[in-house]
Amino acid sequence: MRENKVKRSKSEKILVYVLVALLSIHSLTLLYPFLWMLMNSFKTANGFVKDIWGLPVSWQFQNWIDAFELTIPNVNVTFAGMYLNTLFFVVVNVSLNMFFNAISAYVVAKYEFKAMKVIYSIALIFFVVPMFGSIATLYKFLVDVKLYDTYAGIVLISLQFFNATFLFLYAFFKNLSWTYAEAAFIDGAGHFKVFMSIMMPMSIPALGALGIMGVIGTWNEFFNVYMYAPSKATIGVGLHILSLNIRGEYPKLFAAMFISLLPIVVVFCCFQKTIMENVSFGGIKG
Amino acid sequence: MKTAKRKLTIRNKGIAFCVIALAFPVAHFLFMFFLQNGGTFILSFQEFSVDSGKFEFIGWKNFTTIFRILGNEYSEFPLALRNSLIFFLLNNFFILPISICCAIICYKRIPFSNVFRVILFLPTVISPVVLAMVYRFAWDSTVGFIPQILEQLNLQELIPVLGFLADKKTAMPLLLFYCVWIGLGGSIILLTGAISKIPDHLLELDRLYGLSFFKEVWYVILPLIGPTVSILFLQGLGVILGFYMPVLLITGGAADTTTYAFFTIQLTNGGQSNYGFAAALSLVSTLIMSPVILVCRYFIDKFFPAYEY
Repeated sequence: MRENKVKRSKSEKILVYVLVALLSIHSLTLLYPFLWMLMNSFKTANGFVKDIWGLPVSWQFQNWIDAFELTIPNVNVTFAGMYLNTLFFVVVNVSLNMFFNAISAYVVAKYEFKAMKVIYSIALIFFVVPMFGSIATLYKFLVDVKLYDTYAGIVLISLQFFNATFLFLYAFFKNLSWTYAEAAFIDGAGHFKVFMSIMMPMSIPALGALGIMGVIGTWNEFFNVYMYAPSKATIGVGLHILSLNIRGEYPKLFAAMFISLLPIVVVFCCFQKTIMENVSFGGIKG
Repeated sequence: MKTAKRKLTIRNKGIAFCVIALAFPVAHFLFMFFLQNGGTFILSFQEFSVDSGKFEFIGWKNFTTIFRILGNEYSEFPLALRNSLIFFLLNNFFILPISICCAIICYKRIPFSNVFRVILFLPTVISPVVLAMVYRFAWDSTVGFIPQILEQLNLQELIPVLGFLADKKTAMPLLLFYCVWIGLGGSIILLTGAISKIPDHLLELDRLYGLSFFKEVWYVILPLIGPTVSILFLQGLGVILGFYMPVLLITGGAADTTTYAFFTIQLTNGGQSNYGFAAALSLVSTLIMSPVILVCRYFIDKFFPAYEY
């Protein structure tokens, strides 16, 4: 934000003070529930029920280790298992999405064939026109081809091409000079080698920003696994089911919740500026 | 000759590279497009037959059912539509205007602005499941701290017997409050970012011309952040058909809090006999909302044209 060296009028000053007060209250309401749960994650189950306000009588750090053994009933997936499932989907989905969107954006941006214009136009149209696909159709398809409740099924439906990521990378590659590629062709490099050895390294800033957003989005993803692969529960799905079924073990659940937040908090702290500059949505999260 | 032959080889290899590079993304896109849209279209004219164990063609029956349940007071569908509209109005005509006001004042470098930026942004990166859990536990009748605060203040009569999130009088207002609680910050950050991109010389000109704060906002800032506002407004339109997560995670659709998207999810979870109807519902909603979104986009772009600066 820029420095405002101009003296504020009285009405502006009042507005600023009122806003600071309101934002302070709002910030407190955002932070306090998390701090409350963090404090209570170190209590025993009985200790929490007896006193939800006070500090722990004896700090139960074991809760944070026992949290990994919390298990979803019926599917028998532990919290540790959910963590691994989440890591699997993050690595596979993000790497496949980034690679294929990058290579397709590069090809459409740099190779001047008529088909490329058609592909770009289609990507633009579907960026504007919403596609409200039927949940039932996808559900039925996965059941019919026996991909329901499988890792492959989730990966298949989670891949997204010719979307906003593609358009962003298209714009990036369009502005990248072709001189580097021409020099490489003269030296005898093939098209794939030019892409992998020259274009991909040069697009690391763009890919990095999109990758970070992809990691956060996939880590927090809930619906696809909830609907189409419940036994491959990720952290999001698992925490939700645990919170509905847990009886008494609230401190361990709170610990599990914070364990699930840690990677995102670390990523956010390291890449705060990139994340804030690249988020493109606001309003209610639904 | 050698150069021309070499150029042809490069071109042919380029075509091969393009085909190989695009094969999987194009195939996946076309497959998902035809599966989701074509599959939905076909399924919307079918119904699962228990006798044959297959989906059978039933004509327009699923579509007529939509209009039949719209007028049925015992059906959840009219309620789901009403609630979805309420959330849309909340997002686009309450959260968005307030975010714009806060962002405009925030850009003038208020105290602790960097701290506020980080805190307000957190709900955007934190899992919606975690946010919903925190909110649910805060209002929980047994272990939640908000009911305990009310008890400490001798306001026990305000605590519903069924609990805040299961009582029809309190569940929906609390869901609306939840949306404001987590949705405000992200919008403010986004809009503040858009305002900060306005060149300094434009704003300094305002001061040179002696424009008041409110005139500066109305004639300069609002028009220049128009594209960001229009994107947020159009995203808000998606709430009508796509809003379900807080309902699913916080109230489970109980206490008359169901929305259109949640209703569709419940239909699908209800078994194969509902698939055809769910598909018909999706088709009708797409046919209605697509032109609405395009028309809204047209008028918003007219009202908030993009200026180059």
